[in-house]
Amino acid sequence: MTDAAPSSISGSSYERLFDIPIGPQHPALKEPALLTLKVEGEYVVGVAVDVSYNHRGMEKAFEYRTYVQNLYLAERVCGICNVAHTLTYCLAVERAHDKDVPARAVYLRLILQELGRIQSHIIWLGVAAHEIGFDTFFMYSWLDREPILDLIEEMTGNRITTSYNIIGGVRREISDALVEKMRRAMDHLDERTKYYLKLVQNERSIRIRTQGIGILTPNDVISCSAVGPTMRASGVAADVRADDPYSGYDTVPFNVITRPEGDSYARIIARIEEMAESAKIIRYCLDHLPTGPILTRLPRRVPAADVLIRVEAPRGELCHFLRSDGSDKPYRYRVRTPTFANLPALARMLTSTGGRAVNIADVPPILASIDPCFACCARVEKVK
Amino acid sequence: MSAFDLHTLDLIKSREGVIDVKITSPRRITATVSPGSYRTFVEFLAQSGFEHVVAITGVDTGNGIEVLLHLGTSTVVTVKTLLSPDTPELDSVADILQGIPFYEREVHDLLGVKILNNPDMSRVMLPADWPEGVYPLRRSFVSKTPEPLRKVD
Repeated sequence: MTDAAPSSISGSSYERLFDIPIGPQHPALKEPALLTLKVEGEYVVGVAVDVSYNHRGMEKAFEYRTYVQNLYLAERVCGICNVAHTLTYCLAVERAHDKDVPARAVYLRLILQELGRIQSHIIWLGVAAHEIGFDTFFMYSWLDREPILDLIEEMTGNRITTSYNIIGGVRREISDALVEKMRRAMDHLDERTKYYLKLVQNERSIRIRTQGIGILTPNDVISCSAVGPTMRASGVAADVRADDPYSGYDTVPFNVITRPEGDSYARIIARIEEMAESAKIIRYCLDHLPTGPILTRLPRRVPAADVLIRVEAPRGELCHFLRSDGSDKPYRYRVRTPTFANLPALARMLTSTGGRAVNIADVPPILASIDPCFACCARVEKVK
Repeated sequence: MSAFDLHTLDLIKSREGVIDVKITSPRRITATVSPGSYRTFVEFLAQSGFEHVVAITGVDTGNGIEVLLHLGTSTVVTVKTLLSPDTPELDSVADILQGIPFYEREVHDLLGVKILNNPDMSRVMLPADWPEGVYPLRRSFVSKTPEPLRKVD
């Protein structure tokens, strides 16, 4: 709620500021992270974010493994957006080889990426509803995730960790029966997204907890280098799929969804509309699926190169950097996940300024609205 | 090669302190600059529309620490600087790019690059009980498998 800024923020009537820790273990957090809130009375006036609780040493581990082994390591950077990570990794290695994958594989990858985006957004929708205190919506949305997971399972053989993208193409063909099934599932999804939109726009308990909460202006998101739906919900049309097209996105027509409001509410609507847009992309790909092989075999040794690949993961821009040196192991591999890029924006949202105040009770919906994933955020430390 | 890439290339070429600049692939430009002119060069890029921070990558090349700053939304310019292996130091650009403090802290944590004039250099990635002066992403650091908690015979 946008009550006027308390006078205490500028000229303090409180004698001291208190530190309130949220985390590392807290019911509002699904993963360990520590937010130390500086509060003045009921208002949050500052925040320190500590994400160093999930040390997995991934970047160092990449240097010890071959390119084939690393494919499976990249997949495990993040469970939910594993498709985006394997895609980015494969694109990086293929760029270093300077080879393209067959057209059919490109479209199959694209279909799977959009399916991954839909299931990730549905998870997020449920979690956000849960943080707001609307558990029925949480149950509804997670039920609708099941048909999508069934499609992913039938396409790749696994529900979550798909291992579908491999260096040079994809691992499995898609059957005609599954294509039909996908079309029907997308029709069903369209109905559900319409229902969600109606529900979010009319349900008072959602609007009261999200409208005017966690506002980011277009200037804020640009100066904080925010990414993904967090940025687009503030009216900035930045999408790697459109700005820096990869893996066939330049051949597929789609709209970049933006919302002008810039609050938590806008981020919910933006993600729901993005799901409908993903369904459109999948339909287009199914209609225009090229024929031909699905895999090009590439040598195990990768020529020396510096490659920077950016992919629009469900949470926003994902960036992998590969430096190869001609051997069968990377010299350096760097992963920058969307949550890490959104941390400055999160800190900005959690700080009361001039015209807008942040209550302690607003923290969970604000935190949920960037779709945080701290496991992939803090992946880089050494294997201890 | 798009017209924008070539235009950016020309723009960067004439800058002071730029050692080398090339287009590596479509929408990817790498500019090598000396550590002394890093700050002014980043300031110039930020004013020319490259204010979106993609990432900072640190690489231990064996004869120094290479810091690569990736900037841009569509075309990404990578600013490459080679720092001395013994005392890697770099000027902070936190006052120019507000999205950058976390990346500067990260490259300090993991590779020991000292960032000059950054107001907050506390740890962001490594845990609080990590020993001082040990940088896990340096080549000299060799990770080892932990001892098992309990031996199974």
